[in-house]
Amino acid sequence: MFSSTLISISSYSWLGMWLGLEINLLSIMPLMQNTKSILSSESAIKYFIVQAIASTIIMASMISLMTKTQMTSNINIQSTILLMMNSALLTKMGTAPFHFWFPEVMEGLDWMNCLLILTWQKIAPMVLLMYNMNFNLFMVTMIVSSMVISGIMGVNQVSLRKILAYSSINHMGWMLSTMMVMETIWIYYFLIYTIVTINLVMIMNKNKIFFLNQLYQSMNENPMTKVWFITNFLSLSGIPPFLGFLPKWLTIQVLVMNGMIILPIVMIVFTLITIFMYMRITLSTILMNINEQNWLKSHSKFNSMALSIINFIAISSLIMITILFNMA
Amino acid sequence: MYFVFLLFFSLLSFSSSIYFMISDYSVMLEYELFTLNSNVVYMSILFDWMSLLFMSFVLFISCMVIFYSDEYMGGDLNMVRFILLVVMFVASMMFLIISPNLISILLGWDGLGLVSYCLVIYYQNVKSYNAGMITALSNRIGDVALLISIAWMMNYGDWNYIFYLDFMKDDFMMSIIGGLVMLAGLTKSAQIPFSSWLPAAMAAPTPVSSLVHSSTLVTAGVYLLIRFSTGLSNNLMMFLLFVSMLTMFMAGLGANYEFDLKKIIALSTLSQLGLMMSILALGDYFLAFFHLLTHALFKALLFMCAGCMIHNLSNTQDIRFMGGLINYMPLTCCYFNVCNMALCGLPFLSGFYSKDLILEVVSMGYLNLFVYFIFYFSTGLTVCYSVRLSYYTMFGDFNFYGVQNISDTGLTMLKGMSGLIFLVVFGGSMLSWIMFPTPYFIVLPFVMKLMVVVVVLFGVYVGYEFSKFMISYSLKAMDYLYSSLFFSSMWNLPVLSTFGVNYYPIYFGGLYYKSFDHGWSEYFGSQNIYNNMSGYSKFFQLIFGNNIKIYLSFLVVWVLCLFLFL
Repeated sequence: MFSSTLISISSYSWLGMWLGLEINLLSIMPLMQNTKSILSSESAIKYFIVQAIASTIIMASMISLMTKTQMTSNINIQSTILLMMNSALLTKMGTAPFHFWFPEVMEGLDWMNCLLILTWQKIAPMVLLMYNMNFNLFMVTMIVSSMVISGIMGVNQVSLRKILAYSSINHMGWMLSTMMVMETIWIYYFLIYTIVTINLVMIMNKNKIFFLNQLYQSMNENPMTKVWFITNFLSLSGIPPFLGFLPKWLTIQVLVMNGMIILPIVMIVFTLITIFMYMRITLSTILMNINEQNWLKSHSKFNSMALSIINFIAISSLIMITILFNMA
Repeated sequence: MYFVFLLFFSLLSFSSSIYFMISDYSVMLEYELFTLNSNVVYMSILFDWMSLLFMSFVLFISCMVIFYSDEYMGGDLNMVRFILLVVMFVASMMFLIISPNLISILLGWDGLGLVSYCLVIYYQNVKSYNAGMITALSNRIGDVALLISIAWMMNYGDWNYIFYLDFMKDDFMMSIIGGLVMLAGLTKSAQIPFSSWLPAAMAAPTPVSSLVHSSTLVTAGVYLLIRFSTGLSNNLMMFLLFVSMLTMFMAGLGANYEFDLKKIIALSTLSQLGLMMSILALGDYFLAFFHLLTHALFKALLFMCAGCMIHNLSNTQDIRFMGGLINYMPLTCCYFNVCNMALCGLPFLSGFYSKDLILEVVSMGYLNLFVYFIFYFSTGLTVCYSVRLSYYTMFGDFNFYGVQNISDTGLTMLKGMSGLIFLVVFGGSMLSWIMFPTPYFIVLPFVMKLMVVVVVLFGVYVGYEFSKFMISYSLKAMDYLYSSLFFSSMWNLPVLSTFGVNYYPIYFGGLYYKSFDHGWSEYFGSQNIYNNMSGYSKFFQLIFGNNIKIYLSFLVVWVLCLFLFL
């Protein structure tokens, strides 16, 4: 699966890229199936159908490109075909308005597979998107609709997997906007987003938390768990003293420097709604300390070294990176 | 102990001032605090003869007041706090006097406002709290004007206004700064429309009134305007003349109706402040400074004598309870008399030199009948209320209780007062010999020269006739009730300054709170947005929960549409 993404990124023709995407799909299928629950196989089927249709559309647009322009590279491509290919790639990532499969698929999977869909599966489509990205109305529509949908839908969710799905749609919108102007920032954004998401998913995997009402009770035996959860969760929302603020800051600065002013305004306003959602959850989690009789106490102590290091990076990085940038 | 320090510094600065005056020498010390890109903030100290002379007078009066308050406030629980507040007040006044820089003036100015508030609320009852509030807030307007002028002066790069005085009349922005500084001076010196705080501030202890409200705080405004006077434009001066003359007139009228001893003296201070401001507005700041100094001396002594009387009469301040005190407190009443005569301008006491010179310079000036009339009429009113006050306190009939202990045995208070009496008698002449190297050249027709004497004699007669009455007299003021209420309550200024300013804002504040904060803002803002958001969210959750077939077909249809436009 990992190599499939690498094939997709590093190939120099559309065919190689499509090849990588297909290998990716095929290789993740066995990972998703879990004989112990029916729900996961339903998610697997949905995922397969959606990605297969998207790959078909990509194939069709590649062939149209070849016949129209007699070229296999991406210089001077006709924009309608590009539109088709972009739509398909966006579907593969789960960006609005093609996102409808995303929450339901996430709902059926366990946390490790969720992590894969949220982070690793997005690399290949994004890189392919960068090859045929130019600033046009279509892209802006996608970005704005991602923001709107993630904002409005996210408020009503209870299941943590769906919340993370809508937040990933939100971050997809931001990443698309960085891809329009400067691709280096996309790498930063994606890296930071991945780190934060890995932290969160690890914590929730360990404590087997799937729903909101499990949040308040399950992290009580170790206070550090709560702190880590809260830090990462708020970092996901993009509030200043946390790491998640850095990519948003860079994005806004680069967008404004390139003259796009209204787009960041819209993006920020709708991100505020998601911040409201995160704040609601975080406040309740910090302040409530419900203790019930729980016969299912987990015996493991929280002594994972890797997770501690990653969390340390996540918490202290904003200041460290600012210092590093100013020294260089 | 403070008394010795203050006395020493007062004598030191007086001798320095004379030396500086003779050799025309001034010293300016500057310490650069920080630089704001090209504006440099300095802490400056200017020692020239004017500031040193004023400083020596302030220090001398304050040392006498501290000595005096040792007995007046003796046995008070918070004596240490009181003395410390007075010392802080003197320090703020020092900062104000010696600074040629708007920012260091602000240090002294705000310090004066704050410490005078603390001193007025010293006796902690409701009346003092209200008085302190109106004092502090009226002074605050002046502070704000000074702050705004500091902000405007950033245009010129330097806050030392001394260097800009020649330039101020021609430039538009500088004239705005001049206007703001004049506003600050008006509020501090309690001119119209800010004059309601001065009678109210009499709720402070008498040593405080003697130091603060007679010689130092209220003259700070006049001092600032003296420093700025060569830079203020003609229109501003006209406005200042109008306002200060009206203040002089109103205070003189009001003092004739008052029955509270300290309020009469406060209104008398207000009248003399109006006189100082108006002669400043006519262009002669030198005479304003002269009158400032002599007035400080006899007004401080007047307040101290009043304090002595109040102390002896077991804290009543109403003059209808006093009378015939000359029999019991001869020395105090003697001092009181001398001060009153100095205030009226009896020849060759200290007040005569300044006041008479002012009136003669006014007569020689190029003015209209209104200005002339107000000046002389106010002088007559001054004499009128002074004689009335003397009648009620000293040579009227005795009106106090049968069993009393009025005597002059408060030795500390007496010594405090005696320190000042020499200066009250001789200070005017001494100052005029020092400060005016060449005398003023006055040429007036005979009638105008005699006008002063005529007005004074008239005032004496009216004051005497006015104040003696018997129980069988009917009150004529009842026939002209509204006008006499108007004149006696300082042209309704206290009501205007407090109730008039506060009523509508508070009323509308409540109205806006109910209708905007609890009303339409909620409808357009938080609650309604929240309700809409949750409504949309639930609605879309309902719609989006359908089967995936529909969405996939949507994707395919979209691609087919695109395909058509190939």
